Amino acid sequence: MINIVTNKHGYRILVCDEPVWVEFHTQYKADDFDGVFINIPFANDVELILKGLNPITCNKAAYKPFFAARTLKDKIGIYDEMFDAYIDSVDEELVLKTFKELENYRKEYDVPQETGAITNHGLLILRIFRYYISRNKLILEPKVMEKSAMGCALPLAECLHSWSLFHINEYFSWIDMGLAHGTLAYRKTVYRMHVCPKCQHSHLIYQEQCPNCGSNELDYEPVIHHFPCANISPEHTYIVGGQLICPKCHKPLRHIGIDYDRPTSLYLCHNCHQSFLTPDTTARCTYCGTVSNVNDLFPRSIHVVEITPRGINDICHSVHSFSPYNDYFNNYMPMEAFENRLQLIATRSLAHDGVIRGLMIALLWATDENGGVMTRTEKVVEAVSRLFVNNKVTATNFCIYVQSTILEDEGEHAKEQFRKKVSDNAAYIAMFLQPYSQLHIAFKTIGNNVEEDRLFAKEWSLIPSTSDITIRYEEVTHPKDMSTMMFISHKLNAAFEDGQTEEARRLADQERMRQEIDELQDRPPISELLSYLKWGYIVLAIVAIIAIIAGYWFWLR
Amino acid sequence: MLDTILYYISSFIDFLRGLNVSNVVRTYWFLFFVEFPRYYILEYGVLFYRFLTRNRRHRRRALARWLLHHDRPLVTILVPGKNEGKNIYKLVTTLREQTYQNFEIIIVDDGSDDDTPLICHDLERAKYITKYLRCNVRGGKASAANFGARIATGKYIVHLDADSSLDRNAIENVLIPFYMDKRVKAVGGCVLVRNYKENICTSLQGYEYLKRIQVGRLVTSQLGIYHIISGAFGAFDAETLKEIGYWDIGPGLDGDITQKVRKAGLRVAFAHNAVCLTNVPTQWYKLYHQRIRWSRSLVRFRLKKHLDILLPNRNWNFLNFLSNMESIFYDCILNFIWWFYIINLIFTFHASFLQIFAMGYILRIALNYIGWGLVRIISERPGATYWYLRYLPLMPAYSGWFMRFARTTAQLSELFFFQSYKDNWNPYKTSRSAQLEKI
Repeated sequence: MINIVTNKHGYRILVCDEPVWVEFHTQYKADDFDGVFINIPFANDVELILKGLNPITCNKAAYKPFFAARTLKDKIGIYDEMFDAYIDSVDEELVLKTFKELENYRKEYDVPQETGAITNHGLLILRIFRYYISRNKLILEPKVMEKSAMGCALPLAECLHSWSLFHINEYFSWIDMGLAHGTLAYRKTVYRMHVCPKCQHSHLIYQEQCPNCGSNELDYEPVIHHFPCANISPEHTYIVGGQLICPKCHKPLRHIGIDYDRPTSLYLCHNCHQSFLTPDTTARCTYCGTVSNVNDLFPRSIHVVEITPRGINDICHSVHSFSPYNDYFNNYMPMEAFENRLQLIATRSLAHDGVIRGLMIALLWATDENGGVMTRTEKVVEAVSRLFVNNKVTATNFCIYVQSTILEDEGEHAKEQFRKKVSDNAAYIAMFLQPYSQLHIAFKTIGNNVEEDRLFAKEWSLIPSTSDITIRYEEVTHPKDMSTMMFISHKLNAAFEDGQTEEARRLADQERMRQEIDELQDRPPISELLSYLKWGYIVLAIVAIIAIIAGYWFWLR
Repeated sequence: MLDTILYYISSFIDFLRGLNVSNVVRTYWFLFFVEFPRYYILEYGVLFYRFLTRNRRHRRRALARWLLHHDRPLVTILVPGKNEGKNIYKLVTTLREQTYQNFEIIIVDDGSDDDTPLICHDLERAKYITKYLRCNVRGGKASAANFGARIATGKYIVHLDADSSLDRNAIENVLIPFYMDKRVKAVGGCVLVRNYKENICTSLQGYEYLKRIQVGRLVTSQLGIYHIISGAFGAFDAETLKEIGYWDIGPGLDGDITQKVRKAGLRVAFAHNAVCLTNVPTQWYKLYHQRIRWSRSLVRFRLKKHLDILLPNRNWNFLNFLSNMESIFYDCILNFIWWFYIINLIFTFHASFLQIFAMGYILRIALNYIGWGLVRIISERPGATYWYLRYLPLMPAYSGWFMRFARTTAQLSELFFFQSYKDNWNPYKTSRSAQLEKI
């Protein structure tokens, strides 16, 4: 049950004792409550409730005070980080104190109210930092946690990572970038651990391998040195009928230290029959399965960091873009810079300066089943930046632009090459599509006269009504790890916008909630479950028919 | 003082005038009938024979070299040792320069208590060595070598001392005899002195190694009586080594294993051009102790353990008998006879002993210069042999007195007191077991 109660201090508190997706409950608005109280006695249910209602991902409850029943204290592990206090009743003085404190912090640091969707991992991690700022926890100390894929991380980040909301690589990137930008300041290094070189996961299985053939079929056996004849060989060569008999001089070994000793032990490989003293040690990542030599593991330092005053301002006011492609890719340009560049190239092209002959732009956008333009995500921009590393790239919310400069001695051939390159790479970009969606690509080229140039300057960024290349979801092969939403459908994005009908909002809420819960709980989508159910009905019908026949047959007897 | 010297010189000249051939031969019979035929006439004779047959030998050698590179067998280079970490890198560096490269390097650490494990683990990680085996408890060189040989996967096992280093073609040259004669199952390398210019002691040893190892073993190998494959550098057929039960407890395990190979009816050869350099003791007392150890092994192994070679009823083979007898006769029996000879000289010519002694010394110097000619002919670095010319006048004292004294002491102590079982070269536990087992 969920309801809003007003305590004796006048604060409206959302009291919740069952899992609920408040974000999609239209009757509860962000302004309707000032804090949240999870009032359940069972620690096991806390995780489920927090997945639908938490101070990070839930816009309506973002950064608001969170209380839990006192019975949950010291029983909820890493989720403890999401609660500000443990109370028995909403009227306690502790509630008032917490409200006052957090109000002051939010006011002091100007922590904003969240409204938009979390469309990329960066935004999610930005919210984690905002949460810490709202709690005046400016010094962030990672902790070693059981089951943590990061091995040692901020508890809050670990909570969200355990729900698969971001990849561990992203988290470390943000920390590194924050330190580089001055958003975060280094305080001290608490751990230096070795992680998977591919995915930076810390859950590694160390295994011993034969240095010759790489097999794991190893046996460890002591070696026996027989003093009188200096024979030295593995123990099994000495064992004859339960006795130790020297294979060289055939004398029995009676007394350790007098007749023989065991100076060392050897590994024996059952695969290649090699013997060796020390096997190779490799580490297998439990996440990505990469097997690497222990010397090749990536050393990762875990720092205690402090959010700097500049960082507080950047994080709370989104000054710091935290955009991975801004930091990683040299060819990505902000929209304004891209536009300026286009104008410059167009001017030089029209002036026939003998170097630049023209320019060409490829526009990439995706549409959903209803033809609505989908919002692009950071991942797609990253992918395009990587694929077109020799071309300038920029992006709006809906469209990505790739530019190619045509030089004087290249001409039409260069244009064809660019078209081919874009169409070749389109198949890869189309992997980000969702079912029933399509990827569109259109090319725009600067004209040869001033009029056409003006038209180009005015319309280059507009999405045209027709595309030169169209790729449907069904046409591309989707690798398994591309399941994350990369283009967000207009319908889902609109759920956060005002002005839509109540019915559409409700349907969108339901659909969204179902998908999110499915993803969080790592279970197949409902349509898949329904298909299983269909088979269940068929099986049930067959069983029923058999039962009727069997019963009828018995009854006849 | 000067008058005294001049007096002695004039009396020595008078003594020389009074000599005739008959007198000289009768006085220095030991030199003329024992040493000269064996160490000069025989060796020149064998070298002359080699000169006459050089074309056939070169053809066989070229074919064997081709066969070796065609067969390209895996060779295990086995280096047992204790606290030898500092030498391993130098050794491995020379191995990486070899003309024959299909080998694995196994380092066996016999319970080192210095930085050897760290150094060897690093070398193993860097793939400079193939395997590093370590016995946590010292078991002696034989057990360390056996441990490595058990693990070896090569067709041939080359046993090296850790403080040695090889010429670029040493591995190739030590393998070629296996392909020149299929009955050859063990080949000795030529161990020479690296630090021969360090002082008089090392220079004398340097010449001794050249004469006794490079020339002497070439001659014995040519005659089929080669009886000791140096522990510092020797190659063995892995299967043969397994059949004869690898190495037994030392000291002198190199001579012992050569005897075992010979007793198995197989041939051993010497590759004079497979050169391995090693550092020799720079101090006389260390040299003395080294030679004591070497000489004891002659009694322990040839006279005791492998006595059956000399007996006609067991394991008898003429060449093996000759091989052992040559060693026993020249290095042991004649050693004692020499003392009687000297005592006899003193008592017989007590008035002119000094003149006789001086005359004998001069004769030996002259023979050493004749012997140097052998070294000059055989040496792969003929230019370097000129260095030794200045030390040849000291050689009679070195090999005639110093070495004889060391050999006599060692052989007597071994014959009557079994001193080799008390040698620290082996750990006490293994020496005691070997003594109990009469090995």
